[in-house]
Amino acid sequence: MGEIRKLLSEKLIMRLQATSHSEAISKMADCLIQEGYAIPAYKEALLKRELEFPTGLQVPAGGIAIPHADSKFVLHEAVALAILAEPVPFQCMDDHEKTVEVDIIMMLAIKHPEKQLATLQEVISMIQDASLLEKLRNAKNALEIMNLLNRKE
Amino acid sequence: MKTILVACGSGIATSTIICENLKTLLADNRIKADIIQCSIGDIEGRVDNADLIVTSSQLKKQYRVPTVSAISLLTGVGRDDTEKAILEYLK
Repeated sequence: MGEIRKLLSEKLIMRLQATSHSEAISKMADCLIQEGYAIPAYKEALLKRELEFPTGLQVPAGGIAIPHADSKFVLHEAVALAILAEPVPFQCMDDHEKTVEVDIIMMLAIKHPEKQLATLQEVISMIQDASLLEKLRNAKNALEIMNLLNRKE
Repeated sequence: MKTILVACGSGIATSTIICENLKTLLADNRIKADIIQCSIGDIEGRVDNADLIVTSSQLKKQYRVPTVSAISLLTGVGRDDTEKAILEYLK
């Protein structure tokens, strides 16, 4: 998990209360914008893109979403991670008629898509790792999550 | 040689993963094909030269070429079936 670890920081890991996918996305986007990783228009771009191309994924360990937007809104590449107190429905990436109850969101702020293959591959291996996701859900704080991802290396 | 369009919403994130998986799959099966990564919006302009569409997203319309959903390459669920389906179209 070396690449994700480089792009995550404790400030980008959050426990969230949200009642809708748009509220969850907005709060995460606000964090990335406030921390200087994206320009303010990033939030609107994410919300718009999620409607047109939803990012909900049903994996064996539950529902995950990987919202992202065009790289022109990104100042510095980053990954933000949110664990939701209660899951919220996201539309499924491959079937917009369906929804999936999502409680872990990995927001990808991609700056150079061609250089971020390793990061993307780690995100995918992470969402397929049921035991890691369970540990993330149970982690007490951001530091514990960082340590879990370190241990994966 | 056949041409495969690999498409996702933005053409930058999940399609990158699918392209990498596809390259390995083709190499393992000694199949040569052109892989073109694009966004869903780009399919229209490229589909005339394509033999297969592999995508993580829902397409906006039905195209004349066969389409394989590759969501399993992201979730890990049903991956073998997806790979078989892709290989079948490339025979």
